[in-house]
Amino acid sequence: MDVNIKLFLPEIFITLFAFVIIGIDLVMPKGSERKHLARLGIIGSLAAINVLIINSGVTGTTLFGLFIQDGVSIFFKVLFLLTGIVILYMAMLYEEKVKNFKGEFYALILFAVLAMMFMASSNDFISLYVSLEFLAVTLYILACYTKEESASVEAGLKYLITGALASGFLLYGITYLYGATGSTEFTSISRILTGKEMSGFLAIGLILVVTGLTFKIASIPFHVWAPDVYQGAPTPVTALLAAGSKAAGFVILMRVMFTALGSIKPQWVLFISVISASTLLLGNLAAMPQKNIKRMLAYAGIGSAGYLLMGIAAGSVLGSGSVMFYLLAYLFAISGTFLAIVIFYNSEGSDSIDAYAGLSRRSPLLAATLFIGLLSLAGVPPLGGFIAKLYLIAAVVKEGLMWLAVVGVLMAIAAMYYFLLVIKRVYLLPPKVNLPIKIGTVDTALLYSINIATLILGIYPGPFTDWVMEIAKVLFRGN
Amino acid sequence: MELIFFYIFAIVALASAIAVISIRNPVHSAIFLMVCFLQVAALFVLLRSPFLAAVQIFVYVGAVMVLFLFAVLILDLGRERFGEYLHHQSPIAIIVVVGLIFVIGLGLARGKLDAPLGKYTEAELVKNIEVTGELLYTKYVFPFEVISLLLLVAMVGAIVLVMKERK
Repeated sequence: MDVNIKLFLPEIFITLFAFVIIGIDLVMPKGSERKHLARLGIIGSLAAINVLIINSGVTGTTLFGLFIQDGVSIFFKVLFLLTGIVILYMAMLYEEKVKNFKGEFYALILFAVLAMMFMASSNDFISLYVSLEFLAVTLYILACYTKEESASVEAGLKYLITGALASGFLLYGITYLYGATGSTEFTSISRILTGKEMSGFLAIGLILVVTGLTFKIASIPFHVWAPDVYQGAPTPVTALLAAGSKAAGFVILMRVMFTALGSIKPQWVLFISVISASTLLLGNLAAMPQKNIKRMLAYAGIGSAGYLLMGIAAGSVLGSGSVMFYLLAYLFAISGTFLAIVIFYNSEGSDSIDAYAGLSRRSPLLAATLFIGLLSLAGVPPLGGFIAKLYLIAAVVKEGLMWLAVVGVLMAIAAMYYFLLVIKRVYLLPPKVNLPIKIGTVDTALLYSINIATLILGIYPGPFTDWVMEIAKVLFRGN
Repeated sequence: MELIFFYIFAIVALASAIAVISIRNPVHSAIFLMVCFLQVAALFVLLRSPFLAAVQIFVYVGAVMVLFLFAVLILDLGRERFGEYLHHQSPIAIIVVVGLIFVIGLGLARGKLDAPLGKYTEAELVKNIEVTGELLYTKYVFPFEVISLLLLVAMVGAIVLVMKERK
């Protein structure tokens, strides 16, 4: 048996903790608080991060080449586990809203993190598809978890239907790629394709696979679900979709495009660039008139997928390194913003942008978190998001895609506009009620550390960018 | 000879699949789905995979369809009524579908299968079940385990979404 248990030890940890949460939930008194289960999940994620860091030198493939552990998967697994910790904490704050099966809510979040970790490690189209579907099923359930609200049920249903359609595209595309190469494993596909002409089978396979994967990253043509699902799903789940699921989509997109199909890069650059440019335009322009903050962040998320696709279109070490840096900066900006949204919602019961008027006078910390988070998403110096966008634009300029860079810069300005509209409400307009919003001690500490992380990524990005560029080289070793 | 059968099965499968989504009566639609599944099972036989064909019939035509028909009968769906509201989308849908068929057709016309396919000899294919079983527990053990987790999550999801927790 080709099994090296050290390579997938963190996954085993998370699986065990998820099972233990479900098990303990059974014996807990009915209707009681389940916040300890979330704490257990956080401990499990921290343990898994520890294991990952201790074993970070152990790399390679195992389980007959279907599972790969390399720098990229370690980076993304740490990213997913950090996301999981923040989401579990957010879910803890949100627990009163979940009426039924509170314990399973935490277990399912851990299962979603586990699925994303499997995605980061898939080295074969079969393991890719299976782990992608695992994540999708978990998220369908999570999206309609507050089933008393019709918006949440609508979100779950819309996510399920678009997801099923996208899965069909992906599978159909994989069969064509298999037909053209006779293999489903990424490195051997790359070996077979080296020096080959683009055949019709390959072209169909490529188009269908990319189209199917756009569902996970919420870009054109499968972006339609994003606004309704982001608005309707429970807020922790929305944050999971925004930060986790998108990153998971990009790690497999990078593996497919760079490791498997890297040798026919000249043929797909234009295709990806067009998707990227149209996604940038649609996401950022449609975000402007939104009245609900979760819906606005959904469109902003579509815009971000456009930026990240710029890195894929660049198809270089610089491009993929900047994708990873962007996702890192995006994680902190998104989790800070959503944490602020959950705290605000718990106190005010509203997600509409108008309700945020005068927040700075009621809770300076929440206002500052929104300020830093949203401006980092918009790409304002000296925050993490600015450096990330700068690197992505530099990556496409270096590959000679000037027009894409121009679209990117223009849309960064558009993003500045709609984020500043929120910040204007928060800081300049008078509040309707003048009561201060209470924030717990742990919340305060978490908000501070997330904000500081965003600031550090912006002010002193050097070590981080060097690190991701070093990791990104792994993806191109096959060619 | 094989080719003729392939075309018969493929055309019937496609036609019944179209019937599934265009017929308004859910019971008829379910029966056409059964026809579609049977044709796919027949295609598996043509591909020398009798085991997959049998599984397809047992699982889909047998278990899944019976459950599906029960659900239709118990819920008394009757004729679904929301179809007429979606008519304004049909021109766009037609454009997208025709475009997709055109792209795929173009690719197929230009494409050639030059990959080494069918690495199993007739002698191995006779031992269909053994080959499948061995692959599932050796080479594809990782996806197999992930699917077992997926099924667990699906079960949790079914309980969570349908049941009400007793207080």
